[in-house]
Amino acid sequence: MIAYIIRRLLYMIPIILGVALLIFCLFTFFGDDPVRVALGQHASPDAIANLQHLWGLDKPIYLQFIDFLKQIVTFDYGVSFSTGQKLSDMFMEGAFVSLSLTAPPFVFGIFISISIALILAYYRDSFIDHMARFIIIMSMSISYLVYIISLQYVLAYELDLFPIMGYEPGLESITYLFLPWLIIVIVALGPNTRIFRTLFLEETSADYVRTARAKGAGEARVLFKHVLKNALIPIITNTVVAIPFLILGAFLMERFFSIPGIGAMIITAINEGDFPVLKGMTMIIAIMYSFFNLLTDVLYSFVDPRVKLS
Amino acid sequence: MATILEVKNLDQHFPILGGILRRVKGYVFALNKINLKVEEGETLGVVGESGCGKSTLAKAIVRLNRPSAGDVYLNGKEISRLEGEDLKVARRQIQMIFQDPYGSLNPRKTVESILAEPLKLHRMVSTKADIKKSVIDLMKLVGLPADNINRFPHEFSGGQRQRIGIARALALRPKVVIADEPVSALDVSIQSQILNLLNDLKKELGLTYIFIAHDLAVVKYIADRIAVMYLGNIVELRKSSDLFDAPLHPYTQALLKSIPAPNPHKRGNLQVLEGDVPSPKRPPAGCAFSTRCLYATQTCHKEKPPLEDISGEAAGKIACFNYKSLTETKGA
Amino acid sequence: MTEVTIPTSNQIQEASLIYRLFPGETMTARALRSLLSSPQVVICFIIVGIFIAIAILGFLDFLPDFQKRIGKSYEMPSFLSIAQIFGTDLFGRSVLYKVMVGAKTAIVIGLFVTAIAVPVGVTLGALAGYFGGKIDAFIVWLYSTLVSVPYILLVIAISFLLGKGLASVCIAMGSLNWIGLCRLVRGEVLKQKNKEYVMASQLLGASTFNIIFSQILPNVMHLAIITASLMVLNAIKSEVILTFLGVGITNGASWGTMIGDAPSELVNGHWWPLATVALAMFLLIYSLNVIGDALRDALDPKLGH
Repeated sequence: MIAYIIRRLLYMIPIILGVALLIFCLFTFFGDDPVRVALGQHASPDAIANLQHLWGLDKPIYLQFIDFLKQIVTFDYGVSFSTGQKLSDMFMEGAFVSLSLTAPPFVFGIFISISIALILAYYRDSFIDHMARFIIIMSMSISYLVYIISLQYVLAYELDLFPIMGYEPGLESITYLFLPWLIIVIVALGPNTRIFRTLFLEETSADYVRTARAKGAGEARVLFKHVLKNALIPIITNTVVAIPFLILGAFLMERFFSIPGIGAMIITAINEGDFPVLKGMTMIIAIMYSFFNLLTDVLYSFVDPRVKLS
Repeated sequence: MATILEVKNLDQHFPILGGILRRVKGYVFALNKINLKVEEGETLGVVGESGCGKSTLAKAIVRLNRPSAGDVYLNGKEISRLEGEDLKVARRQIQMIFQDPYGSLNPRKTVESILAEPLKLHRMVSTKADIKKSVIDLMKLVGLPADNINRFPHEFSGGQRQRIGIARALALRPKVVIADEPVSALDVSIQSQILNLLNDLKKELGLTYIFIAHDLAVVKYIADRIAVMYLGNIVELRKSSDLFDAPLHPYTQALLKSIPAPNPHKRGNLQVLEGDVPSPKRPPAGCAFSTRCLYATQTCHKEKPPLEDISGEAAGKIACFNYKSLTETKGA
Repeated sequence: MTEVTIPTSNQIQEASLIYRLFPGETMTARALRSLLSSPQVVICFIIVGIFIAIAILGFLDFLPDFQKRIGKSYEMPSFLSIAQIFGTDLFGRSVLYKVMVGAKTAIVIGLFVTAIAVPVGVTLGALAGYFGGKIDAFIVWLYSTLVSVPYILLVIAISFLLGKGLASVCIAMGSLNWIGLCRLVRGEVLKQKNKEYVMASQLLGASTFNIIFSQILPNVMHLAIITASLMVLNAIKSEVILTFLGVGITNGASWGTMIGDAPSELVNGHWWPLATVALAMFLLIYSLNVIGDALRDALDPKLGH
């Protein structure tokens, strides 16, 4: 199994190289010329040439790529066009904010979803089950945007229960984050419950469950002792894989509620044509995602006894 | 009788990959220097336990796997290294009936489509009407009612599916048919029907069979000669009646002794072979059977016995150093 | 010739499945029969059909011009004329017409992205699964790399760099959506590759192309169909979000733009533009969801094989 882990680690290298290549090519060949964007329309040729040299953009392409690789390894992606801030600093600040926005409802939501899914699996095919599934499909058909806009309007604007938008660091942040948390939980409830319910039901039709029932085990015991344990494996792997997305932040949330997380940074970068930010953030998140995928695979190999033995 | 198929020194070694960089760590020695001559018009039975290489031999002969070494001669022509169009033409002469009636037919195709495929591939008939007629003829040949022509495999029973498989194998009018455990997955009462069908077809079409099975009773009924395989080697090759009357190789003897006798009064002790079959990844030095043979000598452990001719009445081949000194009475 | 047998438990189970199919019925026919048996599914098909009809009208330029001012600013819905049935927006334009044009955009994107992603995904998946080796390694590396970047982020980046607009969004989504299907097809092809019917075809002399496309893929198509319905759905939802974020369509002909205007409209008490858009989106997405589920049930190979 160590061989598997090492092989998996080694495999990350061509992947990250691939991502770097992808991002590099995208930005080099398709974007606007960053120098012209920075200096504006009427810059003199000298100024342009200077800046190009300063940013190493007059080097041949493969050397530029190597520069990019160096940036990746040293975690130094330069500075933002607009704010002049170092990207690595921006990322750390933004990551914390984004995490505080996405992590708590994520964890809380998963627990609730698992519980509801267990209940639905227990009462499968009953009225409650069908009703719940119907509600879930309905709720999944409403656009995320509509949820945000309407709940923000009703709960914050009309009923004045929460601040409409904004952010304060520290413990104050909870007042600002509570409504976004609520919305995230509501929106994610449907899809997650559905997925977990399917996982549980797949397990319940397995032979070992039939044996447990034949031995006289009650339905609840069957669910908790047997099904939950086995279903946890795919649940865990699905959950761990979602972690990098937490850092990415909920784009729309941050936009609507003016929360200065990574998502907001990226949106700003788009609107202002701030290439380094877009490029750097994408790269960082891609690397994190690869790591977490690796982590998931390794975790899986620990948890699943079949993989252990191979 | 002419030799229609000859296998010379056939090896099949599958590489095993492992380690961090997935390099070749070893081999599975599935087939070792197989030598075999099949006479035209005979039914050659091939028996052995699971993993002895019977199916691998079948696939190697028809080039579903490329042999690691050795030659396969069909009608005097070497076929194991043919490619492209040549291979396609050669394949008209030799076809295969597969074991699993459920996996051997494409679940999304009708009977007509399945049986038409070989006809279309080899352009044996051209118009749609001709194809349909040929398909119906094939179905009649194997005893399937013609109005089932548009049905799907899952609408048939196991025995009927095997008939479809047989019809498919015969569509190109091959000379040699390899049947890879064609009745192992069927119920006993159906087995006899299919075996009778195979016998009838052989007489009607002048076929040569290589019949692979692990059930000795089945093989006894249908085969003229029988080859016994163990761990990728042929250990005995005799006429069917001779083999059952007086098995010479210790492994064959053990096999025959392990058939439960229906008559309770005739039951002796089922001889139990000691030990497990060695892994084909690490075959024993010397005779493959030496690790379990009751009569193994020093030579047996060190040298590999070649497949030699036996002269005289009980003619055939055997791979054993000591068979002459062993005497046994009736086996089964 | 009937066979007299004592049925094994396998055969009994099989027989009960067989009875669900009429003799000689193809999988497609059975699927259609199953789909059309539920009134809810039929209604959803009709709803989607209506949206597609609107899209075709829009494509052929038969839709009324949504930019035209037809009334006063922010008129409430009224039955004075069809155009005013959902009221007007800030510029006096018909909310109904705007929603219809948005529908056209949504459907175009959904179909376009799916039309690119499905063939690419199926082909690459089949090639990777069947040939293995270097081809497989390359394709797997390719999609593993693309998958390493969060979808939204990459789509935003690509759209941004290709210049905003419908085409960029289509290309961006098309170049990423094939991955899910590719993986599915690859897995399924790997499973089918070693089955005996494939060996039989090889032995009969079928070419590799023939085996992949004529023998194996029909056993995999149900995955493609189900995935396609989901893909359309996701493409539509994503387009709305992307336009809203500023990387999608910029000429106002999208539901995303309408939603973007919504918060400020709500604050002033004009609820009907948002309500109409939300209703239209809901109808379309809900119907697609139901159809997707129904397709999955209808095409599940466990029923009838």
